[in-house]
Amino acid sequence: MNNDIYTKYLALDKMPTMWCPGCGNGIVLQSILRAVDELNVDRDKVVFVSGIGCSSRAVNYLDFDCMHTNHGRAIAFATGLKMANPDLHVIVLTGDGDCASIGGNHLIHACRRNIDLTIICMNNSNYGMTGGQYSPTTPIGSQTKTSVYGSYEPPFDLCKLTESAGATYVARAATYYPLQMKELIKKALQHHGLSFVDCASDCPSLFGRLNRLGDAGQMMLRWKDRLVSVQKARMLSEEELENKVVWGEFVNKDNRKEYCDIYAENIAKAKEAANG
Amino acid sequence: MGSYQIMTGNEACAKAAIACGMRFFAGYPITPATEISEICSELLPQVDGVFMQMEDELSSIGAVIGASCAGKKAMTATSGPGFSLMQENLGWAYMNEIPCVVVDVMRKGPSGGSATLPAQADIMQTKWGTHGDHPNLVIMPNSVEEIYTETIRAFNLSEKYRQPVILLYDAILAHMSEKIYVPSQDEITVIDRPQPEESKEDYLPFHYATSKVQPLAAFGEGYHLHLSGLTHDETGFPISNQDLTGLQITLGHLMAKIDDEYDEHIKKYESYMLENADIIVVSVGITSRSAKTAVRRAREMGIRAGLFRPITMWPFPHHDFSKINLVCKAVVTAEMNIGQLNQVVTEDIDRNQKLVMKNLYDGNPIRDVDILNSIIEANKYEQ
Amino acid sequence: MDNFQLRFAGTGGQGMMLIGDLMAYYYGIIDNKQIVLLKSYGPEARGGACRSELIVDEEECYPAVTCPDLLLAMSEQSYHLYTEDIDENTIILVDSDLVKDADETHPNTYKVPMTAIAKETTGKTICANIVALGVMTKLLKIDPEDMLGVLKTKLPARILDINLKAFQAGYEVQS
Repeated sequence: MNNDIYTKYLALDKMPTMWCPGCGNGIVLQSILRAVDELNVDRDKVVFVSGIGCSSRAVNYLDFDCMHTNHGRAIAFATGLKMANPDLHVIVLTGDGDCASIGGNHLIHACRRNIDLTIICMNNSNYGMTGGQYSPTTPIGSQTKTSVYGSYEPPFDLCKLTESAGATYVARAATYYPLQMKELIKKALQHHGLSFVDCASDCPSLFGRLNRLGDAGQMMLRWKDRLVSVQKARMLSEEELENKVVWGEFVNKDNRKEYCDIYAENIAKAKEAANG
Repeated sequence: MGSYQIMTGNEACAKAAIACGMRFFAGYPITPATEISEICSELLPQVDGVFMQMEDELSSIGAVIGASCAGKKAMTATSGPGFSLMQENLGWAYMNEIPCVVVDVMRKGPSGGSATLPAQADIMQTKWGTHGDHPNLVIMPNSVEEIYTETIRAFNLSEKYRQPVILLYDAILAHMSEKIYVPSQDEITVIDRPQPEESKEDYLPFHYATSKVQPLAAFGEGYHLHLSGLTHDETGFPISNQDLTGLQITLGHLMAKIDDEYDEHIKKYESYMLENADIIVVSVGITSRSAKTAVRRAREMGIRAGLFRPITMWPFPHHDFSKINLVCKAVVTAEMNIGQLNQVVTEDIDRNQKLVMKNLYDGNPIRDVDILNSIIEANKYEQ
Repeated sequence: MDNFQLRFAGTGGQGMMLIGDLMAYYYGIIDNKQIVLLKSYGPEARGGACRSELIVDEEECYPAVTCPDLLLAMSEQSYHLYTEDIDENTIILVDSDLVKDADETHPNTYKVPMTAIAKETTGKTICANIVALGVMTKLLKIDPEDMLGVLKTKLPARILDINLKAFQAGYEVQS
């Protein structure tokens, strides 16, 4: 445990966090801070932008430039910020409800543009802040406060969604593998283009309790059998992959231009047209 | 020296914004505001500015706020349906005191209404549009030239008072062309947002104790600026619900910074033939132009009529109008809605003064002869 | 001249918006009056009857035409659609080949085969609007040199020559 990370990057006077004991958000936040630290990024050029929800509260414990915006809108604010100052490293902290439901449109359009944002989704399969309702990533059959007979809506696979929308770096990490999570986030931060990291996480207080999954420790252990690396998954059949969660790097490509770069070309064209 | 040019209202708005330093525009196409986007898409990249066509109006205003937090002068333009969608994020900008200009080109509503027909029915929405209340700055020009000059004033107020400013006009003004004086760059007074003077360690993004406007640092300059839509203290970090004085202090400051400067720097209205007026017509935007003709014709007929035209619509100049109408016997409101301005001036007149409402909400402009008839009707009233 | 109102009506594609721009430039910039120019907008401007309207005044004016002092009608549909508010003093200029049933009793109607003249002098019917501009310049007693100056300022160089010819033809056909 490197305590320097905490004193260096956290607003310690804002502690303790409002997260419940056993919440996965702390592991994700720690991985992000370690990634930022190891990459030696100029922290004054890092801006964290978040929306609304348990995940988005993360910015309220950070000693960086931070913007805690409206529900679903973090990516919209971040897009304007990045375009106004492309030198900034803009990191969006969001959750499954924030980025895939109310903010789903901004998510896919940011991917389409391939704008250089790093979007980190703390995916705990339910709305924690409002008390445990089903979200667009809740597995079918799950108990939530708004699916008392079992969730019946098909969930999104956020990695497939962002990949098909055009994201050029897509990965899934899990709180069960924090060091690998840090490494994946590091690669996301270094990527030039839109990077999306889906962080599989737990909400013991609500999703866990409502589905009788035990305490935080027991929930964490459940991941052990469910997580399958992307390399291993390639060798498994569809039946074998049922109820498994595939983690690792899905997309890492540089075959598409980044949006700020594209816009710089637009500026050049406009100036040429104006002068000629 | 500037020059005289013929242009539409929307063109004047876009060009004035760029002339006074707007370098970020995000918008979503909507009639009758689209031309502002079109012109910005052509002209902004020529001056290293950013134009973005966003996926919707929620993201348009979101991106504008984000860009403003990076230190850019930023604007979006829309019409009623899009303005409705912007309200939540606009509320965030009020809460965090982020400068930006929002243009609402009014079309006939409610709902989709009639996209190409004019209306003046968003007057109240610009005041009470977002949830939770807050003071606001809204400007209503009545000519293409005034759109040019008031767009610049909108940016100046926004930067100076660290607050969103709404420029409100209708579909007629948006699309009609007039001859206007386009000033040269050195004839334009540009106010840029003040920069923090304290050290980065001592800087706080908010100041609530007095009406002083706290300079807004830009992201990326090492201030570790914290902004949140939640009720926060001067550090920008959310405060707990136990601290009940929190929101009271925030709102108190938002009101005080406008109130203190209102009379000298924010209030703006036109008085026309108000000397000894028995009948005062109150009208804004495009309708004030037929009101002016109606007043002139009434005077020619021997009726002592005058026009009171707010240019800064919100905050409304209640105090001045109460004094101005002291001796008149009747007030006529003329507007393209079901009576929004009428409701506002009700506060300022006495029970023994008659209030006549001339309104039209069928998508047609109000003709001078109709306002004249209302003046004649009001003039029959004996106190 | 107190308040002077002009309406240029035709079918989308006949260049009525351009006529509005040119006349607005003449009255606003060359003649130094206050002007308001209104144009058909959106779907209206894409095919079907369309119009632009110009209001000229010494002072700031209200942007609505109440009774046009001059109406140009380049199509039958627009002639019928936009003549409701005219009176006997309105100068009406119609293309005689395109508006067959113009009111014979109206005392101030001028019928000129402007499209045919355009075809004859420039080989292009699309220049009919500038022929009409020539006719109107004569009818409104505008100095033709001023209007030629407007054309030279406002039209792109590649189409200037044929339009100058069209203008001349229109100006001369009207005595």
